[in-house]
Amino acid sequence: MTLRRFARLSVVSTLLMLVARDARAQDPRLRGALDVETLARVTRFTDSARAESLPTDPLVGVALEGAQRRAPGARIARAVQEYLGALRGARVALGVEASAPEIVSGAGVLLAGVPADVLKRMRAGNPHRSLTVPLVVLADLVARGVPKDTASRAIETVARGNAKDDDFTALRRLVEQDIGAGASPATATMLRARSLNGVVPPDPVAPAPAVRRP
Amino acid sequence: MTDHDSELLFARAGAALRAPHPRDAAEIEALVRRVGAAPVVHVMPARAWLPWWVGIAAAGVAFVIGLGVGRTGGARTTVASTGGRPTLVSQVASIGGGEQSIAFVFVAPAARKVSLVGDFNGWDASATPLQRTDGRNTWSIAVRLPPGRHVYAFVIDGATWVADPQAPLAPEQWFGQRNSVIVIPEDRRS
Repeated sequence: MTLRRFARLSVVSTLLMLVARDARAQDPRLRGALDVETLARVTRFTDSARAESLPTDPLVGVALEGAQRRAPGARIARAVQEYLGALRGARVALGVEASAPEIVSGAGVLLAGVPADVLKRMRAGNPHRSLTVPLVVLADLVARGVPKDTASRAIETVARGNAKDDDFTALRRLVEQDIGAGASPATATMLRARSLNGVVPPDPVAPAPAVRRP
Repeated sequence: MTDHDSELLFARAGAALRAPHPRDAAEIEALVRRVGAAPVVHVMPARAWLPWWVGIAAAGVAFVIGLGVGRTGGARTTVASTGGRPTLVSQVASIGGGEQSIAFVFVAPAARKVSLVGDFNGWDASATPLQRTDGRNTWSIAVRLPPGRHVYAFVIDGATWVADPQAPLAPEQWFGQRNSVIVIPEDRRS
């Protein structure tokens, strides 16, 4: 074998190895759904997530949703990158022990604009219970127009009262009903949170009523 | 009123609000009346470990209204109006180990095709078509989902994406439109 042939063979082998490695790293669900450039960018993000032990399925899901909605590749990659950042932030705030659904729900809360401190407080106050449903409900309230601080305070208050997931589900449903009936999102949330818990959290929309002391 | 009185008052109010909401009861009755006129829609395969199916069958409707998906099982049915189309979206979760069967029911009289898209099927509008029931307005399908948070939407006629207006909204809005969220309870935080 001549030196020239050997060099050519080496180059081809190296290229094949690189292609094979990339193919292994790529999520098979993404192949065919994204253009080559977007696929490469998204794969870098999912690789990072995997290396950091963050859930990768939500990132793949966003990419596939974008592809199905025929979003431009750059937009898909940006969404995945932003989501990865939110997942990182949620894991930091919720702690390394947080489950994947908690991290994903926490990321949703951060993407809704709620500060990471809220997640930290919720975890500190509820170290042993799953926060998935409370976080989903918190994000939903914000998405429905409840001010972030009001929604956060309400969920934190209800969570402090040993509420079950059903209580959070009920809170969301009742607030939604009230908003549909014409109540302001903030007022509906605070009133329902108080009622569910029997606790009076600080009210951001009105001064706290004076308590008459005997 | 003393602090103690206030606490009692709030405790009573809380207990009252935890009880079935009168408006819910009215909605349930109205819903059952509406649905009663339609043929029975079997939204889930019959399972021996779902004793409340007996109640559903006896009622002659396939919709169960409950207090939401919970660890011990439950059901949720929501009524909504989207884009001028009256819709009825129902999710029934059966609790077992691991995956759970969720029924999605959608009433869309004018639709020619309805499908379910979500992170569980790669958002593929052709992967999970809902079946029209007896040529009427109701579309349904049962899907097995693993525990966790799932994001989904309905696609009408292959073009119009519709979130479930009564389900929790996903805050992320990557591509201009919100989706819905369903949470399948986890066993425990790992």
